[in-house]
Amino acid sequence: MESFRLGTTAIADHSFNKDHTFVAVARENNVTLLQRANGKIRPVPGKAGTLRFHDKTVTGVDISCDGRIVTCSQDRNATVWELQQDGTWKPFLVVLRINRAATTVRWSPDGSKFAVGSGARIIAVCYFEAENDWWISKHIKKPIRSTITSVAWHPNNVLLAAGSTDGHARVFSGYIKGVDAKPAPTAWGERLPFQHLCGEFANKTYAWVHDVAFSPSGNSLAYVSHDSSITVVYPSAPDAPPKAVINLDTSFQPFRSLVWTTEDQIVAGGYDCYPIIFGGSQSGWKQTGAIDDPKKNKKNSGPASQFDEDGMPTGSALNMFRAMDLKGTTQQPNDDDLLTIHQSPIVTLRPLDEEGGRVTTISSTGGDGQLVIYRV
Amino acid sequence: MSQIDFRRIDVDQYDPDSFISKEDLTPPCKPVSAAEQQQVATEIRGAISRGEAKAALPIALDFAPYGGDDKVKDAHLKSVIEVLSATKSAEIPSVVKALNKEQQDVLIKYLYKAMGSPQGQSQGVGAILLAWYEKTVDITGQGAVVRYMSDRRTV
Repeated sequence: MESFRLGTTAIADHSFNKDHTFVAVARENNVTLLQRANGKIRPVPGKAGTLRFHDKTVTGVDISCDGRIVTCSQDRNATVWELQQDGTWKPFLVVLRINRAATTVRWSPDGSKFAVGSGARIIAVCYFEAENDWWISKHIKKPIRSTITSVAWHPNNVLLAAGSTDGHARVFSGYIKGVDAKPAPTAWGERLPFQHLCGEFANKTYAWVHDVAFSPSGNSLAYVSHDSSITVVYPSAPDAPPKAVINLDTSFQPFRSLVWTTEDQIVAGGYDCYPIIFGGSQSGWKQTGAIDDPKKNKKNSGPASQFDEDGMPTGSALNMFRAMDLKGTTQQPNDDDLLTIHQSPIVTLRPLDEEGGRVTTISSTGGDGQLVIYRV
Repeated sequence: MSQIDFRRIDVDQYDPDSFISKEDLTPPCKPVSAAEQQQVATEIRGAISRGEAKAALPIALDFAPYGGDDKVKDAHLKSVIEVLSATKSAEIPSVVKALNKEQQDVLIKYLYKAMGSPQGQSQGVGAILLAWYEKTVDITGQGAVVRYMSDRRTV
């Protein structure tokens, strides 16, 4: 387990690039780029280290397989950034056409398009239009009744899952003529015209859905919602009821994010500030473990900080005098620290390293400005 | 404050595509009539008078009138409080453990509703509710409390 204190303000989203050598972190109105080398994470020096464009909170950031960065913000815009020869990032216009905040953004697996969720009850599926040198969008509207909280792509690059505050997790077709090849039929659907609704699932509580994700094969879908439950859906055939919908009410606080590590294991994190592992199959799911469990942690030794918010390296003496100066205390860590590494809820979990078809490490960020890498 | 004033304006009324209604956000629930509630209330009272409050609780919780109007809901709250009051304090943990997950969640909902209603604040009932709450949350964890807050079906 490694933890990095990247500052004191909340991190809305983060994304590593393909070879995990740098990470983009969405914080306040900017996206910060940080290099990862030799077990350390340092800011990219100079202007290239910050992507400045948005004038309201950045809500999502994602890096595609070919290295493009997309960001979205409450200012109703999204921007695609491409790395230039001179090492700077150039923003490209995205025509989103939404009248409310953008809430989340994710690239499709092949990087040819991305989906933006919004408070306008719209998912904008965006693709590049070479004539105008911009990214344009097509809207998925019906039957979305409230804000989209999360989007996730199926490995086939066409199907798109979305969670919403109307309590539903839905699977749509994000097929764009001219961009996508005709997809092979799956259990979710055979003919997939754009905006086709392939499945709609809700818990009995209709609580907010915080996050959705397809399993690695794409043959099942999981979502977490604010009723502290995790739900896994196994579709049977197009236009037929699913083979199984397993809704597991847990005794934890709600989960904000989830990651499939294998076909039969999910890691979820949220308001309990540590990741919890679930395992199961079509016949049922249950909790199988936890990472960084506070019941097993005696006393937190405090996060291992690399540098502080000013980019200064933090030696222990410096820390001590700073703590004396700011708080009038020499005691570290604080007595009211949580017994987990994260000191406030986990907002984003992402898969990181993979070995032999299973995710072995995951990264997380949250309200406390820390980036944590957990070994599963 | 002037900066956030615009948030008070209902901009949706100018949106022709706006088709959201309260019903859209509420799960479908079977309507419950006052007569059905009466029947269950009688059953519960019968069980209590036979000294079988333990058996009455699952009956009361399974009946949760999500689809009923406020009158039915209040009447059923009264029945649930009767059951809770009739159970011995020492028996609470074993009674709660015998309930299934769904029933435990409904129990938490009723405890909150009772604490917020005049019936739950009358003489002596408050202390009983707190005892139930403490012992129930020990068993269910915080999940049940979160489900009370996030569930769009109310008792």
